[in-house]
Amino acid sequence: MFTSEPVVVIQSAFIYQNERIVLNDVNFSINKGEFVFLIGRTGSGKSSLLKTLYADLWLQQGKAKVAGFTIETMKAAERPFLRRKIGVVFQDFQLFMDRNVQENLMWVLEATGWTDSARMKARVAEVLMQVGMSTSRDKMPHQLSGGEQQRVVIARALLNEPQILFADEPTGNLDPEVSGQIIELFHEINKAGTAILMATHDFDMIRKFPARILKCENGYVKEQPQV
Amino acid sequence: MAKIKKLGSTPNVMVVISLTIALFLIGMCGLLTLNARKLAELVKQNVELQVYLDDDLTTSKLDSIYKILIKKEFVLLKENSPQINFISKEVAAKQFIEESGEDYRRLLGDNNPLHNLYAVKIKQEYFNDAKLKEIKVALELIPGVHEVAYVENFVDEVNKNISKIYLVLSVFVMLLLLIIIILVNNTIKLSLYSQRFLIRSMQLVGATNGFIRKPFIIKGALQGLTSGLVASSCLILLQQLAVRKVEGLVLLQEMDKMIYLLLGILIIGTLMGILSTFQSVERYLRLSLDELY
Repeated sequence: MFTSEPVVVIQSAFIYQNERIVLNDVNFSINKGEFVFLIGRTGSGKSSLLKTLYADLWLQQGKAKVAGFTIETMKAAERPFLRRKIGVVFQDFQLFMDRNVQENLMWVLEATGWTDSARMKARVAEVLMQVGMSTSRDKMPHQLSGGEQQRVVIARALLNEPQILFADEPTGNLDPEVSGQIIELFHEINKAGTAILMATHDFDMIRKFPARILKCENGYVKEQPQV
Repeated sequence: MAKIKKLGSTPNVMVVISLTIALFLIGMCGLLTLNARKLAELVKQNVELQVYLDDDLTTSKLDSIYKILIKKEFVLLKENSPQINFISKEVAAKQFIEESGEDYRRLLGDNNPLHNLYAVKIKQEYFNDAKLKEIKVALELIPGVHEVAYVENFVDEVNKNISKIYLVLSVFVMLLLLIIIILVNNTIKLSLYSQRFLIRSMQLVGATNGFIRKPFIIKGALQGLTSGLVASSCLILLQQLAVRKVEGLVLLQEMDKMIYLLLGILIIGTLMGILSTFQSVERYLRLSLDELY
């Protein structure tokens, strides 16, 4: 059933890194199909905020709801099920080096409860086409360039049709041309209906692809006017 | 090109070697315990009560004493025949002279001071000084019995020494188990260290911890089982070698118990492999990304 409920709602949240508060009184929401940049200097709390949203950091104070899951009361055993409704992409996100692209993606489907082999293969072909990697299905990760690997990682994040993709500096290790292509890919995914929250400090990209901006600064998250 | 690390891969050889050595040592302790137990059993079975008889008993009187003795519960049976031997005073004298090298006849002439006796072997369950004392008192009440003797304290000494051997070996086995756990844990932990980001990636795509653990646990179990098999083979070799080289050792061999011991080693090996891997993987599953770096 269609609902207009936001994909992410965070209210009066305090984000901690170990014992230290990095962000105070965080309040924002992200609607379905929205593209949001999260900017801020290194150490400003962008990654901690993302980690809190995908339940890698415990939300000690405040409330958050992501893809229908309540984060502050979430038990460890529930985390995998939240992560099947969202996609996570970051620069160190690894592929299995001992298996090819298709097997990498098949593993994720198997791990997330898919059983029908024909449907799994069809889904893998679909996401690979979406990220422009259809011809690399049988390649091993080491045979791919950095940009291509990142495309496979994005394809992997898309497998379970996530409501939102959390991307933490997804182009951090890539050259500007490839970075542009990756951001473009995120935009295409977004146009197809998936919300995106992307942490970046690549201002060229922000100028090139104008979208809503949240800025982490001095311990707070603020709405920033679009560039 | 660098060698590609397989999912769930750990340095097989290192883990298997460490586990094998430890399991082999545990198996050795097991073998020693089995042999010590069997040895004690044999020693106990060879303990005799010497029932000295009065002089000048008629053959029928000797028979009636024999009949009383064979009815006693404590007499060891071998293939249903009671282990009671009659040793005449002449035979006893001959044995005495042979064993001691002293000829009493030079002092006492032909006057043989020894008595006819029944040497009675007893069942293991009566093998302690308290019970032997009771038996001694009971037998001495039989008319025609002059005296009952056995090597006092020997029985309790054997029992005490066997308990000591068991205690020392069990402490040793416990220590070995502790060492295996630490050793294997460390080896597996180090090998999983290089795969910690893969484990993290698996978590972030929505795999449950059970699903992530599975390949690692299967690997750990196989490594444990392999180590168990290698250690068991070494033990069989060692045992066979020992039996061939050490005279009399063959008497201490018990095949059925040896099979249980080898099965035990396989089970311990497999369990150790599983538990150590589980514990190490669990550690990485619990760490946050920052802690992983």
